[in-house]
Amino acid sequence: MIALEHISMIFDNGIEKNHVLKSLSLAIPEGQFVTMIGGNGAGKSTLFNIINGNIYPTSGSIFFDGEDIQRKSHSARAAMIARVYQDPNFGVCPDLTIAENMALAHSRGKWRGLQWAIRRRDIVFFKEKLAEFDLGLENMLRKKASLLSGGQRQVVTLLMATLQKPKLLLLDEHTAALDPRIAKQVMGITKKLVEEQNITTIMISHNMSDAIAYGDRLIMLNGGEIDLDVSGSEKQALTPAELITRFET
Amino acid sequence: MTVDMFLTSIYGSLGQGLLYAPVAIGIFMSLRIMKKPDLTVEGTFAFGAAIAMTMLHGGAHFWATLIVAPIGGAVAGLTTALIHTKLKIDGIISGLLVTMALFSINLFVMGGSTISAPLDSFIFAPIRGQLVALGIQPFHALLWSYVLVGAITLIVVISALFFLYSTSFGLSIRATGDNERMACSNGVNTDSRKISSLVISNAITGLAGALVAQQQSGANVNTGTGVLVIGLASLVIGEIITPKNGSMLTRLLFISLGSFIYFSCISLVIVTGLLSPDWTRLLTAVFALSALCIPKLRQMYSKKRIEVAK
Repeated sequence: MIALEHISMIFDNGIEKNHVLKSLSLAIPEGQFVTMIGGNGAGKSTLFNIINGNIYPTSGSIFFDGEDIQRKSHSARAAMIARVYQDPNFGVCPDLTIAENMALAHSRGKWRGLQWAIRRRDIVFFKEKLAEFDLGLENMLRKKASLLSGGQRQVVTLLMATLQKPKLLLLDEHTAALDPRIAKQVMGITKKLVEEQNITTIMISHNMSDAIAYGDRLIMLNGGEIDLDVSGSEKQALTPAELITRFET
Repeated sequence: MTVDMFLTSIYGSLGQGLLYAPVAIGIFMSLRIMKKPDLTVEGTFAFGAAIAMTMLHGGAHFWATLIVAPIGGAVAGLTTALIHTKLKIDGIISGLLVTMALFSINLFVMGGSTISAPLDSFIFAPIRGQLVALGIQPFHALLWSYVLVGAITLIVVISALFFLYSTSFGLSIRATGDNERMACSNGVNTDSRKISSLVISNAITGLAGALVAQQQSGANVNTGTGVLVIGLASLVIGEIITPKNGSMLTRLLFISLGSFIYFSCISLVIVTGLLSPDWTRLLTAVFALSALCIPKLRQMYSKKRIEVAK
């Protein structure tokens, strides 16, 4: 269970104050897949940055299974929170091989000492995982990640994010930079990975039909507040056109 | 130019190339792995040299210098790293500041602007003695003692680094240099990796300083000036000949080879009388520049070929 309580964020540049999040509260039960929509400046990315510790909120607290994680640093939170960004370049190290990238993610939250980074059984495990996608990635383990296309990078990044089941997976418009065909494929893979391990997920999307089609619950942010919060049959009944009208009001 | 001259210059450069190779490896660690230049190198090299010479001058055994000089280098690297990561000062400026400060520290350590120690206290002396006892001429025995010490040092340094970069910890260092944001979101404490990398690379440079000072039979305030560009030249020459997709071990070995090629080229130009030794620095700069340009020219050439093919 993830709970955000009265999160407020005010960016203050000394001249004017920008109230990005206004006492936002949100509780997400374990295993829920939430899709989040909202216009530019609605506070979606700020919310993600606050959750994974890139920035600290002006006020409010965050609880993971009842534990207040407000004081934990970004790298300490990485043990429980995985995030996939919109830009495919953010997720992998281009000069490291795919196996090395995966090994790095595989030891997330573990002690990184002087043990071998990649053992033979890791290679077998990585191969198995990559083969599930049917993209031929399993034969590229020893290749540098810079050789991957944007879509392949997002697939590898998604897999890396879920190698160690995170308590929360943040998807930050992770298909927005891909062409429609690849985006659809990546969404399919996302659904599979999330459902297989029953990972608690929040996905930001600008694609209304995706936001309705995927996930158990839909949240619309507007001006730093929750404008719409629907789940179940109510969510299924939504249409993209309806959402866009709400968007504009 | 006779074949004899050619062989002599290559022969003489072998030991020097091997002794300087760790400097190029240290630069590789910061410039290629962390993708940030570290200017502490010159100060650290001189610091290692000053520590070793002062210790030998005071009657210490050379084994002790091989431990204390790298520690000195490590402390210098740590200082740069802390200024960079904790005070958030740009890495280049941090390095410059520490090098600047080390200049005075070196003067203090040496107790003057130059220092030397008896030849027979150097690490090369016992090896040379052994070789002479085997019936090798004293001059050749001296050159071979450089080669042996240089080779053994390199084997130790390269194996240690190869091991380090194959571990989980080493992988997180490489990831920090390659994509800091990614490393961070995978839970790597990137500051600690930057610090470790600078500590290790400067320890290696300090060790090289200690060995080269013994090869040159002394240290002075100017020891260290120019080693950054010498190391850089060796590094880029080595990278030109490194096979594509070479492993970490291959890369490290070829950088050492680059150092040997660099010193052979310099010595060739001087031995043949083309230029006087006064021109060494200019020559070094030209070598480094041409080595830096070759990959770019290669790229342009292959682009042109693709255009023609179209």
